[in-house]
Amino acid sequence: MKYYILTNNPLAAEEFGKTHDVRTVDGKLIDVLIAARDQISRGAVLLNHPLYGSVKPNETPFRSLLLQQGKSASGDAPAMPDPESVRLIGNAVSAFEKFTGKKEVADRRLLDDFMVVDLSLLRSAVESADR
Amino acid sequence: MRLEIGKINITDIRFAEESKIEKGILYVNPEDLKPVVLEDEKLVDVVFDIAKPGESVRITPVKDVIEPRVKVEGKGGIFPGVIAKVDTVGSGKTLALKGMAVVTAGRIVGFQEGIIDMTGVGAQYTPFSKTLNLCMVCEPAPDLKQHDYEKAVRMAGFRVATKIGELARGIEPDETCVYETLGIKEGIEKYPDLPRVGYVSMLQTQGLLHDTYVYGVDAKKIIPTIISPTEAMDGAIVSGNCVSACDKNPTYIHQNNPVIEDLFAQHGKTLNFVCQIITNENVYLADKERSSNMTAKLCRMLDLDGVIVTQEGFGNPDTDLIMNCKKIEAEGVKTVIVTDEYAGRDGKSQSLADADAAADAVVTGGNANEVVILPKLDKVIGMMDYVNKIAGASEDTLREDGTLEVELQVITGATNEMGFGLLSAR
Amino acid sequence: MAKIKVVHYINQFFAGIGGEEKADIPAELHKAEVIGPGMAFNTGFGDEAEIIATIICGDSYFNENIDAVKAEILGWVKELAPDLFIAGPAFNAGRYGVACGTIAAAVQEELGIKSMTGMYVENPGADMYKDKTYILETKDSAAGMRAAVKKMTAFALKYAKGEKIGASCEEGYMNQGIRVNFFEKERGSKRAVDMLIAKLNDKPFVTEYPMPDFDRVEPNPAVKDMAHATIALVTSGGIVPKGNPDHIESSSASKFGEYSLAGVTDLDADTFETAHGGYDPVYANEDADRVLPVDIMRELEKEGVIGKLHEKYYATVGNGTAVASAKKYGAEIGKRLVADGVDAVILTST
Repeated sequence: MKYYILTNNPLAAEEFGKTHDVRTVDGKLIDVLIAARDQISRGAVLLNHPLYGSVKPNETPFRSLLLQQGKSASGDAPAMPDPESVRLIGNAVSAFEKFTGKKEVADRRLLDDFMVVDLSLLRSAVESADR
Repeated sequence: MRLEIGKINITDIRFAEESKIEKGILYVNPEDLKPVVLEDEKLVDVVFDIAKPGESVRITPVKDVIEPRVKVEGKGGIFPGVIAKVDTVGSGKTLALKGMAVVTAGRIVGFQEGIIDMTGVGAQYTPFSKTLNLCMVCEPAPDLKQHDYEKAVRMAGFRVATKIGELARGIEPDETCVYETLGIKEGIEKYPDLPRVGYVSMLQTQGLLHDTYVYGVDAKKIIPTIISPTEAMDGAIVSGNCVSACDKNPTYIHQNNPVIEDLFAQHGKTLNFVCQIITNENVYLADKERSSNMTAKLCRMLDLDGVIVTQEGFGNPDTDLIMNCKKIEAEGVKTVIVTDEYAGRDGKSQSLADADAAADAVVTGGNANEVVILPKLDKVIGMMDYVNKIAGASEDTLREDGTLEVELQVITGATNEMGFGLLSAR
Repeated sequence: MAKIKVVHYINQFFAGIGGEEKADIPAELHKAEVIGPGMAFNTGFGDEAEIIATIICGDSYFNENIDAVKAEILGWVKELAPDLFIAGPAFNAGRYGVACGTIAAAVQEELGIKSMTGMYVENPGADMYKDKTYILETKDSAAGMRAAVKKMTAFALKYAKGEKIGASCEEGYMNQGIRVNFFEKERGSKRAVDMLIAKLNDKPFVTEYPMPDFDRVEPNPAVKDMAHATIALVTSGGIVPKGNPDHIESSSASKFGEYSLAGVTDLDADTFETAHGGYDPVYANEDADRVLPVDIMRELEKEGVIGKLHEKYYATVGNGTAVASAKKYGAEIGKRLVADGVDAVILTST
């Protein structure tokens, strides 16, 4: 199946850059969600849940989403947004907003931990998508 | 399947020369346990400690909590496919050490959560302030990767719990409970007028620090299936989950699953408890669709009249929970779901990440964002180095007077989604 | 400790002045007087609190002169500076309930003084104000006075003393839509089993978390013949003729407007603007077609894609407008559109 990975996790680009279509977002977790929301509004379809993992959205700075390019029935016209994807990404943005006390992670080791966990959760989605 | 649980009440844990259980007291020689932990070269040291209810002790960061048990009759052994061979468990006789737990602690990742306070406000929220806790803090080999460290500590906890469980062999239990489920035909014949009830337990299965194992199999790879509720009592389901302390299900809670116990309490009286259905919470949306389809189908094929569905963790499991509920209800099976809430610190936000009108019967374990102030305690087992890095904490968490301002989500088991606790919200 | 000072609000009926025929009496301040249900409150308070003044107002007078009377009462209460303001209880009396809710909410919000009231769950004042002040649930008639006073007294003392207020189901106030934790008597799994048994036996049960009410509307089937259809535009984006002739409020709109599009092909900065206070109005004021796409609709009309654009459009402001009000406006707008033979509507938001 053809899909792309939208991520701000450097490890994701490192691991999947050669084998997959990886599109990096230069920003925070919320920037990835917003970028995905924009693409979904233009027809992209979400393949993994944007709130994957129990690491809270004000905690980890990383997010990696699997998206499928939207196809429109008639070719040129923009694809219709997928309602389920719209709903999920909308809920994810609201869930992000309700967590207060957002932290800037500076500690290298901690950042590394967040990257590794995010990568593992991404891997688990990629394994499902590629089988 | 019929399982007897013989309960041995442990009233104290003491370090001693000889490891043994005598008159309800567990004597432990840490030197007996050390080799059990260090047989894995990924761990280079371990420190054992004891925390008792009411003591001014904080255990953090907690990884898993395990109840020592030993199988004395019937097939297999405790933690099949993980410690014991993969024989099917859940029948015969098992001895359990009640009133105590093995608690694994230590920094697996920097944001490793989980606080157990043995006294004060925090103690009201965690179920493990009421158990005598044999704590083990493991030190990893240098440069050990997070995956390997998690697995090493997870397995060390099971080995230690098994070793302690073995001490119970031959001891007369203080109390024995019998749990029995019937075959489908048998059940219908014996309880023709009782509603047929199942228990759908959703297992956290997403990746590193978010995994659950069934007979040793990573549950993200399973298709939903049925097991006897007594299998979980013998450790067929174990936790590899380290995230979201308040609403993850430690192994102890799988062993003592409260929904299973409370359904058994009504079994043959107001309902016929047929089976446990296990399903997963994968990150991939198509997996969620498949698993919820299968779960709903199983409910239908088993001719269930009602089910209780419990979930584990934060965020995307809400989507699995709602999918399960919607599809099971659509099969005409009445459904009650158990969850917790993230309604924000002020309680004003939407509690769940997903919702549906079919979920008209919900039990909640409370709002995990609610703020509590934990007192300064005299002793820490584990480490406080990262306490302001964990979910539900912030840079301001550690206050000048030594108290901690945190959200309930840092406390192990505070808003458990199997209904283990009394906490709720309106 | 000094006694807690309480100011009490009641209507003409409970003050013993009279019924409907006296409902038009203006607000009165009775300093150092305890009147009607206030006596029972005072007894209940014992040594811990006392009513230092009673305010009486006729229900019709209050509801017909709401702004003036509110300001007058707030002035008195500010001067009296009580620790707690209690209104009612109003039971199922509609106008009294609205008055109690209005004044209690205003005292709390504008003066920062703790306030509470009591009424029956179906009193219209309950839905309007339960998230703005503590409303203790009472029976539907004054026959429930004893129980109401007992409940309200206990809550009043706890609240005024600054003790932690528990969840709504523990304390007896109406749920404010804020999730509050508390410890149940049974563990969650037992509650789930009990709930399932009730559900299986078709017995009543109360969910601990009511799902948010989405009020989803199934869309109508697609319009088959667009080329002959009359299409209307309706917006909650506040687009109004320049000068906002109906004075639609920038938030919590109390009305909608009906305006003509006859002869209008393009909205411009000289003729249309937005009344909405919830978004940056610059772009809408520059070119209101951005919110209400009249220009495009005229083009489609010309191209024959649609039959015609309806000659009237409807507008309100969605910003903070109560769902109940929005529903009311929607129903009325719908009625008028149907009467005018409109086939389909394009709704635009912001």
